[in-house]
Amino acid sequence: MTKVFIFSSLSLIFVGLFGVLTRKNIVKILIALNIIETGINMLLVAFGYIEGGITPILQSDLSIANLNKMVDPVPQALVLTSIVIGLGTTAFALSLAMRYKNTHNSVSIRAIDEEGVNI
Amino acid sequence: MKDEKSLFINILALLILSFMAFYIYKVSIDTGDGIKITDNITPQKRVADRYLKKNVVDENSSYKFGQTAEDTSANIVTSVVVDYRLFDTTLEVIVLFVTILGFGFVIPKDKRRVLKPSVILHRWAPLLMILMFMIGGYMFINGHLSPGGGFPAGAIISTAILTGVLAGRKTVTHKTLKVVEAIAGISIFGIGIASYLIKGVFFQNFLTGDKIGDLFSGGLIPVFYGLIAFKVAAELSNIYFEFYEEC
Repeated sequence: MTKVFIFSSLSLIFVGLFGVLTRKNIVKILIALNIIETGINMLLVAFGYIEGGITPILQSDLSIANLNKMVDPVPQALVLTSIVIGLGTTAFALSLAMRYKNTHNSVSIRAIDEEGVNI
Repeated sequence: MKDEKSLFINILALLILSFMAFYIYKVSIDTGDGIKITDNITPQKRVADRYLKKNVVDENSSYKFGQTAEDTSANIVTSVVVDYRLFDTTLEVIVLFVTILGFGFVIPKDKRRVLKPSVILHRWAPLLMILMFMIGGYMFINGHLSPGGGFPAGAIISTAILTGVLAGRKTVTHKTLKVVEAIAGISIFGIGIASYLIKGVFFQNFLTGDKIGDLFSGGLIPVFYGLIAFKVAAELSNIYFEFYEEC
């Protein structure tokens, strides 16, 4: 099962990387960056996964007896904060994109080279 | 976009990326000698083992459900976020604050056309908002017992405010948001300094003696999570206001 998680998160990361490398539209690049971020968060959680693991929440004495079967809580704690930071950085990048559109009248990253060409 | 649909560049990028992805996948599932990334055989060697057994300070201590322990939060992810690694969390809250500050400086202050909300949204928004506020409040109050916590609760509360803004209702003003954010930010560090004066260690939990599984357990954890929830909610609603507002 760990292999499935790692394979799916790595494919998300590389789909995002493909978008960043080949697209010219700034908004598309930002969407691809968000896909990369989701993939990395999934990868971190997948590294902490244990076969047949249970959630790291104590509910009774039974769960204290099964401490060794619990999944790793540290990557989950890191991902929890990173999601909110991702929202903030996305908003910042979108405001930069709005500024770019106002200046160059285009959302293409080649607009600086092709001055005056409206795409 | 002129050469976005160029076939040659797309195929070249696809080939290089699949080559890289294959080798990274091979390294991550490797279980031979040397550095192992996914070592699921011996999780007892990880740092999380000490957090799960709650014996970071005293190596031989053990605990039972319903009794007191080193850290009395039933949700171990919460005890990592708000107790063992609280410095990490406060610094990430500061990173969020700096991002929103830069966002406020950079966003162009031009005139924007605001669409009139539909009658259905305008009438039903208060009901939706009450439900969202209830779920958000439940999440940060129960963050040490069930999945959830301050960050998701802040996101939910700010979404409720966004619903009110979209429906054309008067919710909160910019000044209120700034005051809430400032009070929450100062209180987090104020409690840190208070715990330095009481216990001698910055950010140490000074409300001890409660029992695992109770609503009022975890010492300072619900307090910190409430403050974080209000700070995150104020900052995220600031984003929505800046994007939507008629300047």
